[in-house]
Amino acid sequence: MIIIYNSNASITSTATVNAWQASGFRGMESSAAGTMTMTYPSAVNHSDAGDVVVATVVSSGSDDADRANRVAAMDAMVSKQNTVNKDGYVVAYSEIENVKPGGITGIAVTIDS
Amino acid sequence: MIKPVENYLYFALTGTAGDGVDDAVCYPASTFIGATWNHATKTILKFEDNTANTIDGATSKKYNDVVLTHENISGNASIHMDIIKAVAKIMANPGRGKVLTVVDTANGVVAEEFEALNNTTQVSCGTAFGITQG
Repeated sequence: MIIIYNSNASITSTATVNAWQASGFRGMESSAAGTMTMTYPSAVNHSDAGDVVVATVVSSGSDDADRANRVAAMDAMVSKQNTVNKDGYVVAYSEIENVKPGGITGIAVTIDS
Repeated sequence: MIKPVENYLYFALTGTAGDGVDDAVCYPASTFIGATWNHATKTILKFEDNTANTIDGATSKKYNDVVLTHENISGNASIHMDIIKAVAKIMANPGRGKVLTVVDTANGVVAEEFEALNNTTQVSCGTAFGITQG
């Protein structure tokens, strides 16, 4: 399965549309209040610099609420990674298609991080 | 080691595809690394480097690239996503052990998954295939 991310309504750079093999997904980590970072193997094949997708989730200012919001976002992303269908792809997040699961309000992609 | 049977993706440039170095390439679907924007009219597909012996632990910092030329984003804001979706559908072909022609520019052939994307500009391979230092 191919997983697709589209961070901006205007696709004009390598950070605005990206696709990876869902099988390459390397997990998620909290990275700040209201954000979590997802990692994929490097699109330019660097063994020591993966590609990252930083997702912004609702941040309330309360640690408990932040935790719950982040878990909801992680849960939504796990569902995306594990999707199987005959189309061969799943859109994890898209501004163009308004696909914003799990309370994720935006993403920022860095390849070869 | 038993290599699993899988589909391979075939791409060819214009001209006498196959007569020159890298006129045509064919990669296992499983070696697809990813895809992204390359230009307003181009989407780049990246495959694992097949020049380094990574099975034996060699470190590769390269990838094989295939650039597809297509309709300008000015005419279709989601063209890059549409191209990626079409490639994903081709890779999801339920057959096993097939050579799937994705784009054979030399013969004007494209996979049927691209047909709806060919209305204004034929999807083609206009950029030389190659190994790129990452």
